[in-house]
Amino acid sequence: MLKKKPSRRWKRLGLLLVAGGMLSGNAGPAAAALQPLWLGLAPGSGLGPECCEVPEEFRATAGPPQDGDKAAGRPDAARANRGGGKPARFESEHRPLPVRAYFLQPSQLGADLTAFLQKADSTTMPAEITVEGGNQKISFRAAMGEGPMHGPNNLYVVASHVEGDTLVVRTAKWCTLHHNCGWGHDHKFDEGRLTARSCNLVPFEIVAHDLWDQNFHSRLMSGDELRLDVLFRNRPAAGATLRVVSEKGWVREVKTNADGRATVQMIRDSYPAAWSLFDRNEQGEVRIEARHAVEEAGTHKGRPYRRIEMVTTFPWRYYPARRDYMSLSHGLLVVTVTAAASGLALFLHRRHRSRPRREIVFDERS
Amino acid sequence: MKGLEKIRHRLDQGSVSWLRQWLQVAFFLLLVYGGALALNLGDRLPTFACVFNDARGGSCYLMGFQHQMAMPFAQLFSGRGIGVLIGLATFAGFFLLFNKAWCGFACPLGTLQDWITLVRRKLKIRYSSYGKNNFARLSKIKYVLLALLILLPMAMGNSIAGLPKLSHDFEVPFCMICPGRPLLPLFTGDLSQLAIDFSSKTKLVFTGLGMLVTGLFLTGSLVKRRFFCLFCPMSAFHYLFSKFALLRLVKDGARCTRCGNCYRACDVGIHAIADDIASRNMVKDDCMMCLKCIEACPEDGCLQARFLGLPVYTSTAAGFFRRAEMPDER
Repeated sequence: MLKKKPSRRWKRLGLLLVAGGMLSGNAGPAAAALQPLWLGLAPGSGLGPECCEVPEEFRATAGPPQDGDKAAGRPDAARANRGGGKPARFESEHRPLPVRAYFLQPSQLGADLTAFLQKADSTTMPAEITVEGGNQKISFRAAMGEGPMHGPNNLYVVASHVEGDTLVVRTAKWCTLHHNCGWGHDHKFDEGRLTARSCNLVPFEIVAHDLWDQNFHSRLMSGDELRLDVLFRNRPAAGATLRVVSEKGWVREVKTNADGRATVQMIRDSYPAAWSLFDRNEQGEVRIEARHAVEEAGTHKGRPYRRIEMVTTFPWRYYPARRDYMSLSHGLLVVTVTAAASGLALFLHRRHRSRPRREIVFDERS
Repeated sequence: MKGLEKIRHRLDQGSVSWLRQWLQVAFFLLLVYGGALALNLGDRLPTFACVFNDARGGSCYLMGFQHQMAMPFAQLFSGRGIGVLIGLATFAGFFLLFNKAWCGFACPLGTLQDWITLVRRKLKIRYSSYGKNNFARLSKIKYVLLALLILLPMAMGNSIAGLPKLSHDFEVPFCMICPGRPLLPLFTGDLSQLAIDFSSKTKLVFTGLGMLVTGLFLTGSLVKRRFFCLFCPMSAFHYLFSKFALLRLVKDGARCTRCGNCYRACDVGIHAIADDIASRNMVKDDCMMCLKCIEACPEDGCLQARFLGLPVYTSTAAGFFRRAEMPDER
């Protein structure tokens, strides 16, 4: 597939960051609490009590989409979570939509923001930033042939400014999987699409591996090892701080190794009070945040700085572990017992049969 | 033309079973492991290339079809319905080429049953066959399964007769009970489908039933040739299109002596192949077009496989006796 050359705008962004003096540097002391930026399906959606207050119009509805939903302007993505009344934070990879929209949390009105989409074939296209009810909405056209395509598509928002003597870089990433069985499964062996990708236009990002299967369905489950790379200018960021927060607030903080990599085992944090309340399709959100700082001097838009502080985010979702509800031993037991019992019954039937056979037995060897 | 006649004469005297067993191996490798070599025949195959096997080289149409049947009627009968029709047309296109020979030559689950039959013969266990009445009764099960695999997904996406919609746990109901789901992934070392799902009562029942059917499949295939084919809804689906297929099995009733060789050679046990001397088309709903009946027929030109109206394999007395002298390698 032909790769589009980065447009001038993206080149400018890259040059801007290079011109800003962001050459490789050493990890500095832990960064102060920089407020991270998150991308979500609805304003205020996300993890934790402080961001779970989803406005009524963004709450999920039970059952399939209704015609009235579109008329009411309800984001289709907000319906992706079945189960009625739960905050919608996950989108369906199956449902082709003309437009995909996400909200920046918290809004950065007036800030210097850039948003773009890296499509599944690694080409990029700009995303539109608009304001809706005081919330910043990042959207892009997603109709077949226009926007993102079959596979994982990464949406990025980059914000940078100089504060005192520090260049503050904040990035947010959202990966939207697109798959429809109707499009076929031609990409199931396409390593380029199956493998998580980074974007060289983004100064600081998290790359999480093995999040989806060959049919582009999310496959992360409780108990899985989450392999994470943190990249600074598309190169491993050694010593970066990674913070992983699960649905119920379990937090794990790790430092990346010399290869910019860290591994975190996803905890099982859902224990329904009764088994009848268990839902194998219930997804939990995992929020991944990385911070890094480098001592490095340069200028950004004419303003000098001596240090760079970065924070980047990446939300994903996880399912209950299969081993929580699937039993291989029971399956094997049923197969074995059925095969043995039916075999024995047949043997006994043949042994004790006194009625002569009516059919002619064909001698297969003759 | 003489050259062509010579080739046809040699073909008629040859053993199609020998060719078939190697084609079955080739199709098994292609459909079970082909994906590992990036081979993909598509998602609309008229044969059991199991979707639950990650290394598959193509996918069974029934999986996608069940998904499509779960669409709300408003979508099914709108533009999205075109997608369903295209899928059905692709499936029919594949099928119409080779008719039910997909079952006899390509189906991995059918091949597995044939291999189990080989084991039985090595163990010298006597095979079973159904009486005429039992055969007719059991043969209807596949139509019931076909109806259920359409109706259950429909009732999932739509409220039928004012009843509440079924839960999504009913998705792909036939795949849940198909023995291909737990068995075919085993050939790639994947045991994950050989399990019972306790997440909900519906899943528990379906996966439990699936394991039960798998157990019966193993025993049944050991004592009855092509045990599962009699119940296969894919076979029922095939039959809807069979009359329009390019490959046909025809009979000249005037030449039939009703010796019964064809019936006794038939793995499925179709009585009509011997009894019916009035019909020309011999592709019955249970037929898998293995062409063993032609091999077993000692009458010149009584049974014939024709492709686009041209004979490709014909029963001959000379061929019958020549094959009878061959060492039995089947």
